[in-house]
Amino acid sequence: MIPRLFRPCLLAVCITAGASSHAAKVEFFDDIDMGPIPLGVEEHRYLAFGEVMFDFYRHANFDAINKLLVNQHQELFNEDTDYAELLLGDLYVTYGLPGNAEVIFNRLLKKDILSRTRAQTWLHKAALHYREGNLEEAAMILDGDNVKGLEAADEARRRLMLANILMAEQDFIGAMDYLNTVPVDTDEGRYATYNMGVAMIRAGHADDGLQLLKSLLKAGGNSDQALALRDRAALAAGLTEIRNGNLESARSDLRQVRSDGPFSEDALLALGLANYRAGDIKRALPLWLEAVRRNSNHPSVQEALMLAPRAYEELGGMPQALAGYQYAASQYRESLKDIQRAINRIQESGWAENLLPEDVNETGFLPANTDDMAAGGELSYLYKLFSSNAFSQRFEHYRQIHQIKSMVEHWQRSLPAMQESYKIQQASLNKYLPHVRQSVSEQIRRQEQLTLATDRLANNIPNFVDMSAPEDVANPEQAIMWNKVDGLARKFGTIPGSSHQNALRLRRVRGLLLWDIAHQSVEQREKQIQDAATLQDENRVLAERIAAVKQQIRDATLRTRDDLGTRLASQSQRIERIRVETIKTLEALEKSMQNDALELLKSNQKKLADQLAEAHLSIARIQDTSVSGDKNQRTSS
Amino acid sequence: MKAFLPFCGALVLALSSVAVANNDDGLSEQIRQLKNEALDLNRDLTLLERELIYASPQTNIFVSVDVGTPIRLVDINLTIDGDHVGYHFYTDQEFESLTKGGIQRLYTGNLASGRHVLEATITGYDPLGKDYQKTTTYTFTKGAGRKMVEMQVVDDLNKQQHKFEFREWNQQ
Repeated sequence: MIPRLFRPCLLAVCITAGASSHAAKVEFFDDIDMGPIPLGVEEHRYLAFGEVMFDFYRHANFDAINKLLVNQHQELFNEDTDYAELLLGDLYVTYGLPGNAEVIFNRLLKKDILSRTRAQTWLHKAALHYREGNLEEAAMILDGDNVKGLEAADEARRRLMLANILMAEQDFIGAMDYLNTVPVDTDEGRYATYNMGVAMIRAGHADDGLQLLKSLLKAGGNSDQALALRDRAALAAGLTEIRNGNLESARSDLRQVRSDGPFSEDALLALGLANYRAGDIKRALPLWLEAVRRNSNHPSVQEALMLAPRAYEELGGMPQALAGYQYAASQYRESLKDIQRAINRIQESGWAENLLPEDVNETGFLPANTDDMAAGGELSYLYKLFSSNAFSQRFEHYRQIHQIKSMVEHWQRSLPAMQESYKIQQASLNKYLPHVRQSVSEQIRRQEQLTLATDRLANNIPNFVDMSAPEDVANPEQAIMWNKVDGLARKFGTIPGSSHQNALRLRRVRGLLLWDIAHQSVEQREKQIQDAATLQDENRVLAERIAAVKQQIRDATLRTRDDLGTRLASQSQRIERIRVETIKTLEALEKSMQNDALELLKSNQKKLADQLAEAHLSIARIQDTSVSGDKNQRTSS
Repeated sequence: MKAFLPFCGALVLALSSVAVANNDDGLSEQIRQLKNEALDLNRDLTLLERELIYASPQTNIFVSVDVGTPIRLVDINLTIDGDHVGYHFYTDQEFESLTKGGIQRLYTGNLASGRHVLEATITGYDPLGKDYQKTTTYTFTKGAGRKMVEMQVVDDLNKQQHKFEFREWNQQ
């Protein structure tokens, strides 16, 4: 632990890229504990940037950008604060403003900055191109010398991006070189391996692709995400093996998919198919029957609804086959009704708003009313849409614009209150300021007199004890007594009872009192010095209060002359204009998302209608066969 | 075999991503423009609000914690001169923000110049999950300019609990 008295004040500056994040340290100032000190620029930056980081790490990106912009406007963050610039650029990327981000990155790269910051900036620029789909430009940066000297986490990110770019170009050997260095025990490594495997299979390198997918089956990781990816890899490997005719391998892979995981229905269907292809219909049937018991809105379950009775048919179980087809037809009709309900719901206004998460800073894409949607079967049909990158990006825009709408409405409500506050301030200042100005001069004079008197008192107290003036070192009771005794001694002889005996008694009393005073005089002197110091301290606070009042008078005088009222009033139209634009944009985004959802649902509807027709045909076929069988039987008998 | 033709479709689908029609019609540019305008508006109104509300010198109380602390801060209660001025309950995400170096502004307001006594009470969980409460008082003097007080909730490793440290700045 760094000693408290002298330690540099650091903040961890995090630069993110999607799911990956890491932190670099920014050193602000050496922290020496010396009590209240003037707020220097570095200390101010430390506090302001700390606040930005608080927002950043709690994913309140809009607030973080706003704080950076406000501080930039107040010139606290400027061309010297590369860390703030880099973070703002990164936040712009996350917030969907790549143009603004690029301007910042280009500005930083033109400057004479630390080599590590330069490399980080280049990496950000490459990530920006990558995100925008400019893969060639991204690759040029990532493969160049500019990104040399990155920290380990950034280096892994660079290699991953390069691997993905090469994968997209079908340069699998090149991609593998980069991918090999990305650890497979991280989420990024696992996803990259999966993507690589699937890409290789698609490109015709099935063996190598399968090897990669199967390597994931042995990879670690117990998170939901890791387990789901393992299921997905097993399913993809199994399906590829079925396509290649390697049915035993397919069965082995598909058995590794968890029976309660998100891919279990697909796996049941595929495993049944592998058994069927191997000629083992009896082993295919129970798997399809198990699939049929699952959610009938799932596409694989819908396939299984027809496959199970068909297997019965091939095994000669006509009554079971007939019942199966009839059950399939009823399930398809129910699913068609579900789809129609989903279509109706999507067409209602406010559909997209209902998808928004309750927490405004929630970045995940999980609709708020998932339960309602699941109950209506909507989620099963829209799942593929929700998991698509383009749709989720559009929804993210919708969420952000909705957040902007809330913000604009907040300002619209606040602006009249701000204008009213300003009017009240003006009226109050105009009323009280002249009197305050007038009376503060008198208070300043009094405080200055008090300072002089206090200083004089403190300076006049000797730091030693002098018994020639006992009243100076006596406590209040002793001082009263001393005045009385000393007064009597001075007047002795002129007052009645001035006998010799009384003179001796008075001397004894005086002596005893002097001894008393002398006995505690050192303690009393210390107390006097301490009291004088306290007085001086109190007086310093008074001086600070006077300075504060003077400062407030200056502020108030400026306030009575400023144009804040006009500037506040001018915001009204601007707020309204942006509010209208926000509503229009939200409507356009909702319309666009509705269209995609409806298109998907209608294609599902068509597919289901075909399946329903096929089920009815099968029912008719079996019934015909049965009737003609009966006729033949009767004819022959 | 005809019966399995539809399934081949499902197989292909499993290895491909969903194609979504992307009719932009200038919407992306409209979104970008709106976001920029909203950021500018928010910045300008924040500045105006600060100018209005905090024209006279203000006092800010900040909270920070030791980076990577194993002790969980649950909530904090703040009083100034006996008046309750702030309370915050930390969500996991907010506490994580603090442990990564974030600084939270717990209180902003106008205080009269002179001496003030701040009292902070925190509830926390030690590394074993046992809860505890701690209170501290701190006296500061408000002068002519803005006052910034940073309350650092730092680890007391001997007791496996938190303790407080304060830093104070005056802005003229």
